[in-house]
Amino acid sequence: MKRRLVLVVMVLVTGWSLWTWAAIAQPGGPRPVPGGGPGGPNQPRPGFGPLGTDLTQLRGLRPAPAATAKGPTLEGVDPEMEAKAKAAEKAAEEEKEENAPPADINWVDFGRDTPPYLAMLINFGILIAGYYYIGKKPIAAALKSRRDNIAREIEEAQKMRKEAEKRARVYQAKLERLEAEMATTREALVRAGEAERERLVQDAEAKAERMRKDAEFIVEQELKQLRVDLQRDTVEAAIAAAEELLKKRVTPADQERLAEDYLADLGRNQAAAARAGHGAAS
Amino acid sequence: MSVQIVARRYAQALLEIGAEDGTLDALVEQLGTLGSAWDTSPDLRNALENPLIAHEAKKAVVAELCEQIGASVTTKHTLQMLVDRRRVQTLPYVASYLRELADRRKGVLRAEVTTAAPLSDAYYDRLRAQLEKMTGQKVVVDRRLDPALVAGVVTRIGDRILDGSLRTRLQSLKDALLPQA
Repeated sequence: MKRRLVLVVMVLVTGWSLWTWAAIAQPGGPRPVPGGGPGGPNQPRPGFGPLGTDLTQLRGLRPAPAATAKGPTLEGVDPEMEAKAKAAEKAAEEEKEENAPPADINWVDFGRDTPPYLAMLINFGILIAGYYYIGKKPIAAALKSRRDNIAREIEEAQKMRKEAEKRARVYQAKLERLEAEMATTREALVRAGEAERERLVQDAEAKAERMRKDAEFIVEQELKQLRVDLQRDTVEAAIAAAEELLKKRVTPADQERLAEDYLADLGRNQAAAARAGHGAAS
Repeated sequence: MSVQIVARRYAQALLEIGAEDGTLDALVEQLGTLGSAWDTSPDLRNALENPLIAHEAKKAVVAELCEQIGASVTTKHTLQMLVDRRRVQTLPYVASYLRELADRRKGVLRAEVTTAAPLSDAYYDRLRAQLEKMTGQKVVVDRRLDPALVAGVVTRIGDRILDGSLRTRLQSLKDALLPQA
């Protein structure tokens, strides 16, 4: 409730400031009155030029009557001269404005062109108080949260640093033991290498022995096969030669003799079979 | 169905026809001639087995063949039936089985005697007598020539082979001389 009330007050104060600014910006609004109002030193006086020169005296003429609906005119005066006189008058006004001293500070007067300075100070104080009241708790909470985060990060960083130091100590210890481990490992590797060498030599010797036996067996088999092949070739060649020779030399008489022998063999075989049959029967 | 089973049935039928008609010997002889022609003539086999040759042309070939060898009507009809039923490839088996059945019917053993050179008829008579003495049956000798025997005689009678050729002796000598594997 209080926060809403403070917000309403801040809105009102801001609204009053905006209204004041808008009133100054309006063309028909109050204008600064340097020199204290219509009778002030900056108020232009009719009949005088920008340098305070009386044109009527310069020209030997009487001052022009008040402005009519057609605008001020100078009878008997050259229009060109009149335009120059107006330009000179305008330049004189601008120069006066530039050389005018700064206006006094408006402390409490609400009717003047600028708002009173005291009101602006009060306004500023109200805004500052409002901001403080509204933003005090969230800002405090955010700052507290940030402080906690930073504390936690610091704690984590310290923990990591401790772990890193612990690892560093472990590695340092390992490095210190490294020499001894290297010596042990070297010795173990040498022993393993020697054992492996022994095993390889034994395997190689066994393999060489097997290969030698296999080679001897193969050679022996090849020799046997060659001997058999040679013997077969020799026998086949001899039989073929004998067959060819017989084909050439066999005569009809030989044919008949062999046929007779065949017939005689049949008779002998039959007689032997008969004897065998009788023997078996008796 | 097996070719040999089919051939046995045809041979059995021909045996009965020949026995009834009294033309068994002629049938055996003519079918034996046709079977030999089938075995020895690739042209004849091609003409009767080729499916691209028209059936009528095959029957004309059969008729011409039967006329050339003076075949009987039974032989001609048998051959034509084999062609009609696409069983002509069984012809040599039919001839062989018919000869075997006819010999069995007559109580005759057929002995195939192969020699390297022609021998005298007297020798064949003495050989047939010796074979009859050995088997106790009447033997008919079929003579064949094979110069590859070099010399000597080979007799095949039933399932037995009586080999007295010089070629076989040389082979035995070769087997004896060769080392055992």
